[in-house]
Amino acid sequence: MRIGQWDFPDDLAYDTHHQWVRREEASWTVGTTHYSADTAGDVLYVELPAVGVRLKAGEPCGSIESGKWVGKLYAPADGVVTAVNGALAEDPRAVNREPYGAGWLFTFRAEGPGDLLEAAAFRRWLDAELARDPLCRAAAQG
Amino acid sequence: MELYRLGEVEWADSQLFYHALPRLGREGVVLCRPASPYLCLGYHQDLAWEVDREYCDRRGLPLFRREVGGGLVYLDRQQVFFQVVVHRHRPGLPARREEFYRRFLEPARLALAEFGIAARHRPPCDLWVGERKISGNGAGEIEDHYVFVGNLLLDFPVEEMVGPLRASAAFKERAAAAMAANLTTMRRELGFTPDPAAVEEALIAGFGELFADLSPAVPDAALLARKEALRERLLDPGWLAEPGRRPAHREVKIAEGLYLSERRVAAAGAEVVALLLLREGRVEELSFEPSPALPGDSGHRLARKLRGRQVEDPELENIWSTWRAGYPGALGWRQLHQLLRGRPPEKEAGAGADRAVGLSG
Repeated sequence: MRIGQWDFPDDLAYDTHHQWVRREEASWTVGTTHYSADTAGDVLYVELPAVGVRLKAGEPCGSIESGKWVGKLYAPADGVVTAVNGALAEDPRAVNREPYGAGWLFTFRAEGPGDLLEAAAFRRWLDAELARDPLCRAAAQG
Repeated sequence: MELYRLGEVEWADSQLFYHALPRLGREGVVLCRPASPYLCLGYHQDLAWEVDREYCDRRGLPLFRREVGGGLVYLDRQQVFFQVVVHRHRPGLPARREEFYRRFLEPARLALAEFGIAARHRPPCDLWVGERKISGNGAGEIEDHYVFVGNLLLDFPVEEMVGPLRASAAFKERAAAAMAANLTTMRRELGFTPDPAAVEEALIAGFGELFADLSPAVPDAALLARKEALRERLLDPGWLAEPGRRPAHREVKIAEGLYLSERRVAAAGAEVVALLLLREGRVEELSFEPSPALPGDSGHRLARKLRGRQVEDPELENIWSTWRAGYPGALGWRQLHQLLRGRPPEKEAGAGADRAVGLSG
């Protein structure tokens, strides 16, 4: 799925913090969307949860810095962190370059459904979100 | 939108109010300035890496780690702070970060204009007068709110800013000179230090343009209580000492697009230390500490050849090659690449370059 200049793979789920989730049985991988990576600017630093940390759906579990901005990472569902992308310590801009690939953030064992949107529903949500900002609305209309 | 015009406050209070508002689910604009100086770290900065604690202890200079971005700053009563807390779903809030910054810098730009100072937004997040920065800023997310913090510099003591840096004397000296050359203040622009109250009035007028519902408020019991509860957590030594980002080399951002770096590399059995001022990726200044890898005046000659060049310019390797022909055994291309670009060259390029002159770098 493409919205304006941004890609949103159809096989992923999304949350309203502009994060994507790839669900493979109970093992879920989390990253930031192409839209988020593009509009935030160059990522300088990512603080990820430690392996073994218990996540609570919707609660902050890490942070990401781009330019002068520090944003939070959120747990998409309850669960336990099983892996983190350690390569981001050396190369945080992988989040900008390959948000759905090398820029993944962490993987966790999900213990609940979370509050996620499938691609079509996410599109409706993002359309409404972009309507708040004329510049992004223009970009989304391509 | 509530306006808290606090005037001069206890130093930590100048950070605590805007951290407390979002935790109460409240928006607000806070104007204040600290009664005494302190150092303020960005959220992800590493205190031990950035700051000379002994220097701070000797001076009685307290430290604070804020929950928003930006770098280490020296703050004092010669700066008027503006701090904006807005709900992330507030209608009309720009989604694109650069536009968000521009929107929230506009009141400060208008305030400066009131004093006859023509500032402009220098993307992503600076206000510049001519070619000099006049406002420091940072932003981020606290709870369900976006926070934008900034200041207008009435005056700014660059020596006080560089003193606490954990860096060499040469780095501090160069940083002070770069700041003096690339920062400005209202005093410098006007020839006198304006009355902070008048600056606050101008900021209020500017924020009134941004928020039609801006209305004066005083901190209520809930806000005061939350602020005090946060004091314990945000001044906790453990929070201050949280490990954070440790860049590969010492670097300070002077203004948008302008960075001073101290880079080190091993070469020819010695260490080469370069002090590099980069403007938009171009070498504005470069100097090397004396090193066996840079015999005689070779370091000066190399620096002179590189000044004005983009660090990514492919021609650099040829410049280096010509220079190196006069100094066999001196600094190799791989090391110079590392010094200028902060990373080693691709294997093929580095190996080929050194083979071309029959030397190992």
